[in-house]
Amino acid sequence: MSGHSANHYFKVYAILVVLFLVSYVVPEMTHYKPLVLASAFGIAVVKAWMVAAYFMHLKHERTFVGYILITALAFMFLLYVALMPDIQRKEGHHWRSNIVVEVPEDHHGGHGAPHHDVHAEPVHEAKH
Amino acid sequence: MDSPIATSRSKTGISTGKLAVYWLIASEIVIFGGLLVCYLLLRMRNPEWGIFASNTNTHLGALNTFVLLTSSFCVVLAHHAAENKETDKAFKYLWITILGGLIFLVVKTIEYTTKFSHGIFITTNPFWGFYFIATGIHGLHVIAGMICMAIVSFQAKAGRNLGRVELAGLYWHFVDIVWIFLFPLLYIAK
Repeated sequence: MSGHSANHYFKVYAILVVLFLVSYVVPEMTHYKPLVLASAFGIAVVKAWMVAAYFMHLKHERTFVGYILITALAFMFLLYVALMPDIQRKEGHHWRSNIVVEVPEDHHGGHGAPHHDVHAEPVHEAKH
Repeated sequence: MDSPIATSRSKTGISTGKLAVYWLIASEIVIFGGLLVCYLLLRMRNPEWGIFASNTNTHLGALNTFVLLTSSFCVVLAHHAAENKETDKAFKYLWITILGGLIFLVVKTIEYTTKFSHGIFITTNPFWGFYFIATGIHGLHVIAGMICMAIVSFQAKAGRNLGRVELAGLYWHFVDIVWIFLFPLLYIAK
């Protein structure tokens, strides 16, 4: 039993809607990227936490459930850390990435098949 | 002859059904997490993808976010009603949730057809590849959730397996959480 009233869930829902409206309105009002990204992703994390904690009742759930979910999230983090050195860097020892996505002139994204080559080129010149 | 069915696990203190749903959610975290991590890495590597992202319809994405939040609220009310043995109420809220899923899919279809009419497809470039794969897989999960809830709703109406209302709800909340992250990733970060 969750032991909460319908009124309690409505309050949580109302907060979620307000947070959603803020994340929707901020990008409409400003183009200052750090603020837009911070509000969008910050609010997304808070909303996800609220849904998990109050709607899924994770706050009152057995610890074992937390272990299951944290294990899955840890694998996600592991994947990020494992791939980051290769994908984030544009060059390294004897290699240079040539991932290229051409941006069409009309900024539309739909015309002109863009070239996308994910292979890394070997670099023969000596690195210092 | 009825065979014995384990309905709870003594080691964890969690019902078998709920434990199964949480394992399912854990595997889904890895599926969606893997996809989103790859997107995030490539997106940070290629800031010019923002130009493609500016062609996603933020208003429709926001509408879908609101629809899923509302449906999550409805399914938790269905769970609340099922706990109180209010079977008709649980049935009603489950079907409002299914309606929310249907609205979500209609909006998604509008988005997809608009993209297709502009010559944007899954193979257009890696950004649109991620867009269609992530939203497409998510859409399939919405459909799966709607089917599960439809089956559970009729059992709940008959007063059978009321515990399954919570299980269907847990899955639906997870689908909502995935969309909570897809919205800023694909529609806001431009």
